[in-house]
Amino acid sequence: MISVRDLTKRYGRTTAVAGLTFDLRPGVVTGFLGPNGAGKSTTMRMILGLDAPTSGSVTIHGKPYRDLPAPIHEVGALLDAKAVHGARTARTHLRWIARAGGVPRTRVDEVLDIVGLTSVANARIATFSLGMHQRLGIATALLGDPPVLLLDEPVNGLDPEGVHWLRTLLRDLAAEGRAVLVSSHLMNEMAETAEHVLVIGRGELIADLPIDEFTQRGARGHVRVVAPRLAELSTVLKHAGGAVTRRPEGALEVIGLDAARIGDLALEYRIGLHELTPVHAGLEAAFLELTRGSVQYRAHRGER
Amino acid sequence: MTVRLSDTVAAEWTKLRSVRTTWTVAIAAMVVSVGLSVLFCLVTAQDYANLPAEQRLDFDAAGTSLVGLNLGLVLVAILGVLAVSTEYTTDMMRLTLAITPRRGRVLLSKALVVGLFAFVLGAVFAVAAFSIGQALLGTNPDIHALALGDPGVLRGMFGWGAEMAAFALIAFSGAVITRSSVGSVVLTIALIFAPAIVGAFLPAWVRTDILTYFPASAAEQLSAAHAPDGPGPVIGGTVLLGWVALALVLARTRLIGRDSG
Ligand SMILES: Nc1ncnc2c1ncn2[C@@H]1O[C@H](COP(=O)(O)OP(=O)(O)OP(=O)(O)O)[C@@H](O)[C@H]1O
Ligand SMILES: [Mg+2]
Repeated sequence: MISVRDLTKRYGRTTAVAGLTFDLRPGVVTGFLGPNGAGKSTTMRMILGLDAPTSGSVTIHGKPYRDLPAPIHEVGALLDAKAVHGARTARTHLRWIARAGGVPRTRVDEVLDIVGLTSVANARIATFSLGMHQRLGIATALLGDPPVLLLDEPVNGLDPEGVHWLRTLLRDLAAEGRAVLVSSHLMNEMAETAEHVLVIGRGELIADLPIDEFTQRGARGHVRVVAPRLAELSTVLKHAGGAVTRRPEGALEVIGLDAARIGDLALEYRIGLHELTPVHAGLEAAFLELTRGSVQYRAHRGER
Repeated sequence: MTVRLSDTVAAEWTKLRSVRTTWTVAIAAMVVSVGLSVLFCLVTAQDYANLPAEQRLDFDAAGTSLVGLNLGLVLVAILGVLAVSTEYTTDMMRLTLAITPRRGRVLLSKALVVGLFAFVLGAVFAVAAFSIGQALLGTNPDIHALALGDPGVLRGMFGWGAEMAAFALIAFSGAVITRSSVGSVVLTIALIFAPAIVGAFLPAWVRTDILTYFPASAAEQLSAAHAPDGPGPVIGGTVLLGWVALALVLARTRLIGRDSG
């Protein structure tokens, strides 16, 4: 479908994208993750031929986007939902796009219906909320009924119901065999939607893997242990190869040994246990750990 | 399925006509073009006897009834600017270019729509101003009012269409090149009026040999029913076309060569 090969983009001295290589899979929602400024939007612009790569290439079924005979029938995109002319109505906005893309006029009302904007179809876009802009952008992406969808932060501004609706929509679109790439900087947002994730940081690919594997690989969980003879247990666990941290509230955090092993060791040394809890890191933690080295804009707290 | 040039042109026309500003500016241009011309004819018909003798001897009835179009021209040129600058200020150009990645075609389609629209406006304003104006001038028995069939008149009407189209396209290209609406409006106004104003202070040969070939004077050769001294409508029209072509080529280079932002 879409192949990105060694894609690099420099704006003056900033390297926005650095040697990115990946393939977009059909039938799957792929989460495109990375902190602010990681290069997600830039990558999408290059896929659409809007910005020229400094080096490397992007092809859609073997062709650059610009050479597609009917582009919006191949790739539907939402880049910046706010970048529309507020003076038009939702309907006339979609009409010019349908005309330009060679899509029949009747499709306009269909997509308005899909995104739930039918009742405001004749209202000027300037009166729309951010969430309504996003819905209009999604309608635009769907106009050509394309096998590939690229959505840059579509969740932004949607209310909880809208988020739920979008998740279902994206999964349904993927289930129809489409390739769906959705960018976000919130890992949790992707957890229930994406089956696959691409993580980038400072323009480089950090991970390209199924979401389950991502959780496991990104950050190991730890086991929380409470026992009356804490110091003794701590020594035993360290000998067995665990990394042990003593918490101020009188518990141990153990990395490198699972709960079963810790339980067995405690029995062997006849140390009573009051609590033995495996703590999973969660997606957000996995994401943070993966991108730790590549966050450009880190807030510094309490600098004095 | 393949998207054709006609689809892109139709889309650009949909875009232009679906914004209210387009019609506000077009109506303003009509009010200025026709309204001012009519007023001027009213006053002239009343006051004809008080005009200096040499002006009466060489009275330009056609020009008198088309005076307002020289100002209406500025508003039509602004229409050309708006057709592109709003896409840059709203960042919608990215959407346009994502929908139609063949940028040369986007430029051509926009130019066709802007050029044709301006041409129609120019010709319609000219015919309206001329017809009403001649009727008013004709109320004074001393004035020899003209008809559309008189020599040079019809050419002048189309000439006005061409002049408005040309300046709308030059202004449009300026907006593509500078991506700034204010910049290209100022540039266009300067291009329309500066040669005439500055020319008054320059030696005669500069006016006849150089300034004549600037867009405004070249256009005048085409749009004035009895043309002022100069190379004539054919050469004037060709020179004007050359200016438009140059502007569009520069705009194309700029649009194709750069990133979308
Ligand atoms: N047109 C441009 N000119 C100059 N620098 C740019 C341009 N576009 C992007 N950049 C830079 O490239 C880098 C990547 O930006 P990009 O917008 O692709 O990141 P992103 O992953 O989409 O971030 P966010 O999550 O904040 O949307 C940033 O450092 C940004 O400042
Ligand atoms: Mg972005």
